Amino acid sequence: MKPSRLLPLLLLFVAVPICAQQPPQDDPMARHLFPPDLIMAHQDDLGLSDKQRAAIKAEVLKAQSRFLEWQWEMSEETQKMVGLLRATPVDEQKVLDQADRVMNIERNVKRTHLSLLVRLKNVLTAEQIARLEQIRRR
Amino acid sequence: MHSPDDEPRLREAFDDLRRADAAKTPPFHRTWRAAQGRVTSRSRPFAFAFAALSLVLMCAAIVHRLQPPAPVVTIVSMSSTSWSAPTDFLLDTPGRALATTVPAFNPVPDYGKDIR
Repeated sequence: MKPSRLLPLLLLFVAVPICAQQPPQDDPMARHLFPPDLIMAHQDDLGLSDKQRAAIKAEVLKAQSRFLEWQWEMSEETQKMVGLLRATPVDEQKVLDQADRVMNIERNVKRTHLSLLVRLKNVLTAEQIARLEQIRRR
Repeated sequence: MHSPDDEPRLREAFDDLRRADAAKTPPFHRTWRAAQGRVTSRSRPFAFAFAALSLVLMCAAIVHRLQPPAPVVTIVSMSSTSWSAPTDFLLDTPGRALATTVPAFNPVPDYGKDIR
């Protein structure tokens, strides 16, 4: 093949990867936080120390037991809500009170999860965070 | 029927004819090169267009990459059937699957089938 015909193909092969290497733009908050699974799956790559590993495990285990409890509680309260919504007519005040209970549980879950993610990020060094961002972009 | 005297005359006449044809015909290598040139000149505009398009695409990709990211606007859907809040991703807690899934158990293999 003549070099003059190779050049356009080579240019295309360069253009396509450049287009593909776009950082995630989907969630403005989540992109700055790292789930524990991601951190632990690349612990060797990140060079996590024993102290960091122990801190991450402790935080995750503490949060997980509370998540499970809230998950079941939310399931229970949601079923009550469904029962209230089935009625004809629907008692608006009871539904709203029940909704407050469900949303309070959701709020607790979100708050605890956010606190966990922030603590995990604070355990990591700046270099480890940069490395994680690189891994996630792959 | 030819006489034996005609043969040399015929041979000479054919030689003259061959020489006249050869004088009019261009050499083979010149004809071949001209044909190759026609093919190349026909495909050259396409090759240039393709190269130009690739270059434009690459430049566009580089410029797009260098631009600062557009400000993210989170739109909260107010429809009754779908509710999407910016903190909803926090409801997907680690280890959630533990309470909602059952692992797949492999069926016990039938050892008797393969015994002969």
